[in-house]
Amino acid sequence: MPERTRLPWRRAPLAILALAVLAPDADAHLPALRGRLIELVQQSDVIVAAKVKQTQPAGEPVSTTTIAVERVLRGHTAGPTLSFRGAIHVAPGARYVFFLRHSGAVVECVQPSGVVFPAPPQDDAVYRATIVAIGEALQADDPSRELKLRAALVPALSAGAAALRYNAALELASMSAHGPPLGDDERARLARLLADPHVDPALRPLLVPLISAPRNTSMETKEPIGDRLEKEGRGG
Amino acid sequence: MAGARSDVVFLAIGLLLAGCGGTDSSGAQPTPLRVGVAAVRLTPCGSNPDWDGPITPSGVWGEEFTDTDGNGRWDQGEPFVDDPVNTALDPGSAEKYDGIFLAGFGNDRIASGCHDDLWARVIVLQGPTKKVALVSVDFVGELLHGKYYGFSYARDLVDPALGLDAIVFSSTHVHEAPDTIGLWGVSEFSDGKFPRYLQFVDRQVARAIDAAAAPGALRPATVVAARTDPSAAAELRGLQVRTRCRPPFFFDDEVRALQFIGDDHETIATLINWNTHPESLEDQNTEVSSDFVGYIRQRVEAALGGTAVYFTGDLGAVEIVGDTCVGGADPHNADGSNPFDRRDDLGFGRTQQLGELVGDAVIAALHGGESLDVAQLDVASTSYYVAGSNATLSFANTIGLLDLDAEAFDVAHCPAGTSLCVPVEQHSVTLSNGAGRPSVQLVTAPGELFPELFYGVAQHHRTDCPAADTGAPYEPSIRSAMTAPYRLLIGLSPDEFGYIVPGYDFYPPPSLGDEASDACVGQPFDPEFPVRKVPTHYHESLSVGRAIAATTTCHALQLLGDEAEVAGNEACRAAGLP
Repeated sequence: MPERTRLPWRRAPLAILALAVLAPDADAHLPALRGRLIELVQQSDVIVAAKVKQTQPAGEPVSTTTIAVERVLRGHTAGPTLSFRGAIHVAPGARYVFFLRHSGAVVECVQPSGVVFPAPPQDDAVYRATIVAIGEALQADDPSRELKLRAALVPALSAGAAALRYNAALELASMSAHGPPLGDDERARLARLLADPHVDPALRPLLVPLISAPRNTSMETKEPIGDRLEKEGRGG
Repeated sequence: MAGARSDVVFLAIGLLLAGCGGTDSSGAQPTPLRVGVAAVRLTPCGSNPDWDGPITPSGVWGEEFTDTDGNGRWDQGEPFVDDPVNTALDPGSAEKYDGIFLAGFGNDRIASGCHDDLWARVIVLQGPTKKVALVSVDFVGELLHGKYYGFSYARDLVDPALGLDAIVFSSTHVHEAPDTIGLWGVSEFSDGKFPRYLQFVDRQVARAIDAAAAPGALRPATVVAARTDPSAAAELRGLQVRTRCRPPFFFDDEVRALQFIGDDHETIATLINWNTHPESLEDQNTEVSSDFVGYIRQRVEAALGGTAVYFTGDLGAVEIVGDTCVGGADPHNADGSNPFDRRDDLGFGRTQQLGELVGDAVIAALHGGESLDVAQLDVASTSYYVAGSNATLSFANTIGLLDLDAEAFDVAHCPAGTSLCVPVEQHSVTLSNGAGRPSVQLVTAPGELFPELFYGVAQHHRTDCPAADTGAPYEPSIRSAMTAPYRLLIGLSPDEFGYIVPGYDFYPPPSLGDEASDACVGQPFDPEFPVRKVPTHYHESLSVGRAIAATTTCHALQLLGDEAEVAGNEACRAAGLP
C-alpha cells in the first residue's frame, strides 16, 4: 500500500483525534450518533464502491465478505474481486461503499457494526468527490486543514444516500463545535443549501445553529461552563 | 430456553380463592392488604397463541426474509416480505426490515434466538382505600407516550372496572432484549423497533395487569420486609462499578425486598429492588435474555415460592462488575480478589452466578426480615414537563429512530426556545402501620437516576476535582425525605429518559455524538485504585438535560410531603418548584 495514503494519527486534526478518543463505542451502552467519514477515510487504505458477491460467518460477530469492485474511490486494488473481514453484515447483490485497510496479508473493513454506506451508482460521484477532498484536506497543514475538511463535507449534504448525508452533517456540526466558527463563505453556502425546498429537513436542526453561531467564539474552547448551563435552561 | 413455550403463562395467584375475605383461616387479625401477582411472557420466539405475526426459521419473530448467504439471520440488502401491519402502525417502517434487534451497545445486533424468557410481571396492592399496580417489563426502557406504542396504550387496555388508582410502569433495563426505543437498528440511522411486536407487548402488559388486579386474584397478605448490603451480605461485595470509573465511586448498594405472604402461609410474591445495570452478557451475546435479573428471580422463587418481581432502582452510572471500569472494582472475596472483574469471561455462566449471588442475599435477608403491620396503602402521583436539550435525541426523533408522540412531546408545553420537552410522571406508594407511620415508601424516577441523587448530592459528591464543579446547586436527597425504614426507588418509570445526572457535575456534550471533558479528565482519583481515572462525560450525551435531576428529586420530595425541603432548596427553586 502506498505510504502516502496511510495517514498517521499524529497528522489528524486535534478535534478528530479528540473525538476518536472521547467517544469509544465499545464500552458505550447506546450507539453514538456521530459522523465518521473523516476517521474512516483516515483509517482506510482502499475505499471502493462494490457489489457484494458472497458473505461467510467468521466467528460472530465477524464475517468474511467477498465483493466485486465496481469503482475505486481511493487507493488501489489488486483485481476486480476482493475479500475482507469485518463486523458489518451485508447481503449478496447489494451495493455499498466499503472502507478497507490492509493488515498483513488480510484486508479488514474499518467500519463498525451497523455503519454502512449504501451506494447506488448515481451517488458514486459525490462519494468520490467527498472522499478525495477529505483525503486531500487531511494532508494539508494547519490551520487550513480544518477549513478544507469542512469544505469537503458540504457537497455530501446533498447526496442521495442518507448515510452519507447524515454523516456529513453530523461531522460538520461536531467540527464547528470543536474548531473555529464557520466563516462567511461557509455560512452562505449552507444558507443556500437550506434554502432549497428539497433539502432533507432532518439536516436543518444540525445546520441552522452553525449558521447562527457567533462568528468569533468557539463553544468548546471559549464558552464558560456557566454560560453553557445558562443556555440550557433551568427546567420547568 | 427455560420453561414451556406453549402459551402465555398466567401466574395470577388465588384465582381459586375468589370471595375469600380479609380474615385468615387461623382466625388471626384481618389484614387490610390484599395482593395479586401475574407474569406474562414477552419472549419474541416460537409459537405463542397471542402472536399473530411472522416467525423466522430461527424461531425469532420477524418479517420473513430470503437468507441469501445462509447465515441464519437477516442481513442488510436481503429480500424480505414487508409486513403491512408494521407500516400501518409506523409509516416509517415501510421498506424497513422489522425484526428483533437487541437493545444496548452498538447497532445490528439482531437476535439469533431466545435463551430465556422476557416477562411483564405485575404486583397489585389493594389497601382499604387505594389499589395500585406495580409493573416491571424486561426491556432496556419504554416510553409512556410513543407514537403508536408504549405504556399509555397498555394503560388504555386495562379493564377500568378493576378500579386501579395508579399503575406504576417500569423497565428492568436489560440490554439483551428487543429494541423498544429505536436506537439499535440494523444501522445507526435505522429504527430498530418492531411495531407489531410492540403492539403485542402493550396487549400483554395490559393482560398481566388485568390478571393481577382481578378481584379473584387478590388475596389477604402479610408483608415481610428486608434490606441488606455488602456489609451484611458478603456475596454482594464488589459487584458494582461506576461507568468508566466515573467519580464519585458511590453506589446505592442496598438490596431491598418485600415478601407478600398469603393466608395459607405461602409466598404470593416477592418484590426485589436492586440498583445495577443488567448487562452482564455485554455486547457479544445475540440471544434474547433477561440477563442476571432472570437468575435473581429464579433463585428467589425456588427458595421462597410465589412470583418474584424485580424492579431496577437508582442505577445511573452504576454497572455490573466487569463492564467499563475493568480492574477498578472493589474486592469480592476476603483475600481482596474479585473473580468477576474481567472481560474474558462474559457469558451466561457468569451471569447466572451473579444473579444467584444477589438472589441468595435477598433470600437470607428475608429469612431475617421484619414482619410489617400494614394498615394503610397510599398512592400519590404527579405529572409535569421538563425543558431539556439533547441534540442526539432530537436528531434521532427527527429521522424517525425515536417515535415520540407529537402531542405529548409538543415543545409548546415548555418555555419558548426549548428543543426537547418531555412529559414526566412520578408516583409514590406508601405502606403505613396502624399508627399511621410509614413502614415502606417507594418513589419512582423517569430514567437512570444517579445514586447520589437518591442519597443526597450534598453528602455524596465528587471531592477529587473542585475545578470541575459547575456551581449548580445540589439537588435534595430523596431518601432523606423518606421516613419509613424501608425506602425503595424504582427507576425507568414509566419512561426511559436517559441518565439523570446531578447538576454540579453535568457537562452538556459540546456537539452531537460528543462527550465533554472537565478540568480533571484523565486524572486518577483514588490512590488505592490507580485505574480509576476521571472519564469524559458520557452520560450527559444521553440525558434529557441538566434540569431533569432537580425536577425528579424535587417532585419526589413533594410526593413524599416534604414541602419544606423543597421550598428551602436552591435547586428546586431554580427548577420552578414549589
